[in-house]
Amino acid sequence: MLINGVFLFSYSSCISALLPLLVFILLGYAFIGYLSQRPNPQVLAFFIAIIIFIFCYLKQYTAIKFIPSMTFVYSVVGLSYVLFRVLQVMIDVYDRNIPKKISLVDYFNFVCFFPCFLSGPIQRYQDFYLQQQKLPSAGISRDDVFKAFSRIVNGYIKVVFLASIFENTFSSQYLEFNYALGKIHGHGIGILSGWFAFALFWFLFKLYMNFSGYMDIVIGLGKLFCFNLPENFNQPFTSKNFLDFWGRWHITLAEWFKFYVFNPVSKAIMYRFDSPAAIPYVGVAAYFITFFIMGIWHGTTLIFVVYGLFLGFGVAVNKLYQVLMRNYWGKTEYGQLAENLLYQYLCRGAAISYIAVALTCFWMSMGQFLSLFGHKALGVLVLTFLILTVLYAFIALLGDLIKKAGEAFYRKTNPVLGVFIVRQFWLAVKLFFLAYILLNNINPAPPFIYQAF
Amino acid sequence: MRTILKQLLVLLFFCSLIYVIVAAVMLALQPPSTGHILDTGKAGNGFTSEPQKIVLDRDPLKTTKPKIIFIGASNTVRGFRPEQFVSYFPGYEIHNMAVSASNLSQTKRIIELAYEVMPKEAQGKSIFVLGLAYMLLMDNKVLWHSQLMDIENEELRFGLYQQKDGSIKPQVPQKYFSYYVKFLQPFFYLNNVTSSFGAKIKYYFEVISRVLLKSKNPAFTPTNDERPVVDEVYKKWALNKWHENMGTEDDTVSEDQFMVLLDIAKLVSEHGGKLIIVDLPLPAWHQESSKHFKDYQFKKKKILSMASSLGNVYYINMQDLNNNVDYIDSAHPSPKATYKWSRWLSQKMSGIVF
Repeated sequence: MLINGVFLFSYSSCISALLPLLVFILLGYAFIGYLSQRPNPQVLAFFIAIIIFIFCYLKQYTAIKFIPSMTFVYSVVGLSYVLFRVLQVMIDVYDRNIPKKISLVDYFNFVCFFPCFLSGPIQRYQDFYLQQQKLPSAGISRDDVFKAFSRIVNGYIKVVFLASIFENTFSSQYLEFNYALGKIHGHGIGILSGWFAFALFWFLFKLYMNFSGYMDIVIGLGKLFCFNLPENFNQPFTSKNFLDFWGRWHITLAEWFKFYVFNPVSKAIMYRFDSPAAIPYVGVAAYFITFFIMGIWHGTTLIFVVYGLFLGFGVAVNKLYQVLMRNYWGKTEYGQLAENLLYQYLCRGAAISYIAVALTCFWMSMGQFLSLFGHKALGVLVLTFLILTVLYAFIALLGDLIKKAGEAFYRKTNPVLGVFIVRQFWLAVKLFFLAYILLNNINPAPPFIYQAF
Repeated sequence: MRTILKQLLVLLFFCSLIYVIVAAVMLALQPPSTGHILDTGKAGNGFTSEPQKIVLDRDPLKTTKPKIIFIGASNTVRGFRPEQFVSYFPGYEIHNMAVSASNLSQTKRIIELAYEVMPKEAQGKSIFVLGLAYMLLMDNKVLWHSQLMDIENEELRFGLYQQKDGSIKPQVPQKYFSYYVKFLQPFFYLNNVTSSFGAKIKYYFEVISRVLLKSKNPAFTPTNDERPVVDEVYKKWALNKWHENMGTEDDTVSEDQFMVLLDIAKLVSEHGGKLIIVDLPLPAWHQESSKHFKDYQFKKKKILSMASSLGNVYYINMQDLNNNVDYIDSAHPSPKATYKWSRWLSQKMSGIVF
């Protein structure tokens, strides 16, 4: 509790700046206490609405800007993830999925658990509580310590080195894109789409390195404190389609939305349309709603509504495509098509390409986005999507070949590479390289992008 | 906790081992500069850039002997070679601390860095020779885009200096500075290797992007610096390049930078040294057709007379050495012409130095 408290207070210059966040957390605890005594669906819905409203107010969402804001400066760092934890406990207490009464200390430790405080991974209370209970007797093996150190060093290299490289490349491609945008009439949409595709290509890699690197650090750190935190990434660039992508990218967020939005929404729709023929389409609608909300959660401005639409549309079309292909082409034929290598790589390319295009919302304001639309944007977006699909499909193929070669190499060299000295030496090489990067770099490490959400 | 500490110790041991390996490789392949002269013209020997050489290799300035230190931009780096002046000024150490693509603000910072390590008794006996041309009057906003200067970027690397309250302060006490720099040598070596590798990758990537997408962005215009023949096409290109580089629509030079020249004169005077301002020549074709040059000629009179009134400031006009055949491009003398320059300048300087 002490470490969590110190970590929390390190993010503000004075206690008053933390007051809104602390009040938000305490209010959540009061609601949980009430729901554990008197579980009632209407009350739960009312409490959730209040919590979300306060969250939107504290984060200064554009839609509720008409309400006067507080006159002092306050911290909202970590608030987006605190929201998930508070809502999860409220819903699970109501559903009786958390049988024991939650003490204020346990609740505070869960909501403000320092490795996950800023941006996840989003752990469920039940999992956190179990691990916390085992802490006094928990030990950490030598191998676990080595793995934790490796994970932390790898994460730092991703954040400090690789993300910086991709950031620089993205910036120069973005300048070219802006230049081409200014000269659109001279260049035509081909050139504009080319620079746009390059910028998106590097931004996605930058975001991946930044986010997954941070997660590596957090998970490694958690391990040193004897906590097994859930993984947030599982080779997202090998996703077979856009739906599969969300099982591999920001996994804990997608899981949270599956449990607490998708499932209840699906149930609610099924309740209204109970025809068996409608069942496959219920999923399409539920996916759209879930991912639309998830998109909006990412930011406070209008551009994130566009991001939500991108995500919702993407998963809905993906699901609908699967349903229609099975219905009209037959399960066997569709299965055969899915086995086709060219089809597989194009699907993988399209999935990554689509998320890269959607991520435009992370680095473009609404005004810029609309001005892009003023310039034959649909053509630009479609052409960019196609360019990136081919590019990512090619990279996926290349990646698979390299991976195969790497696995063969690893099998052959495993007896040597697995030796204690070799493993330690390799970790030290990475650490030495990291020290060099940090010493040589005059700019601070790139900010963690998801911290802003 | 004990397991974690053990792992830390193992890592520390292996990191030290890697340090030793890198240091050994460095000593075998690229021994660090051990000269007694600070010469940015030889920055390639162990350092990534001229600014890095200045920040990290200032030990030669620590002697109490009187010094002649050349400062300015690339035409001073190439034009005034220390080895060519040694015989003209016995008893003096000759250093060249000029940095390519500098303006006067950066030059002033370089003088400050020189004073930072020079003993008091050497400061009063030393002479700074500033090679002045209109290119040195490029505005800070244009040259550095309101960000840090090249020399400041180098200072901030490796934790040697830190930016505090708008100025850059040393973090390592002067008496330990050399030891710290020596300790970091393997990292500088890595820096050299990675920089040259990174520059090549970036170059090829940009070439591919430009070819693929037919970029018309002027920032990516292929360099014309290495043209072997100074013909009419080159002259037109070069004048246009200076127009773009200097960043003023009407081709005037920055008055703010002229004021920095006064600051430099004051700085040297305060330390008891002498400042010789050498008005550098440019090829005749450049002098005749450049609007910047004309504006510079007009504006310099007032500032130079103000600077001269400070006492320890001297002016030498070298602009007549403008024979076109002595230049490899729009500003830099040929290696052969540098002998002519050093002979000529030494004769003019001897009255001031001795």
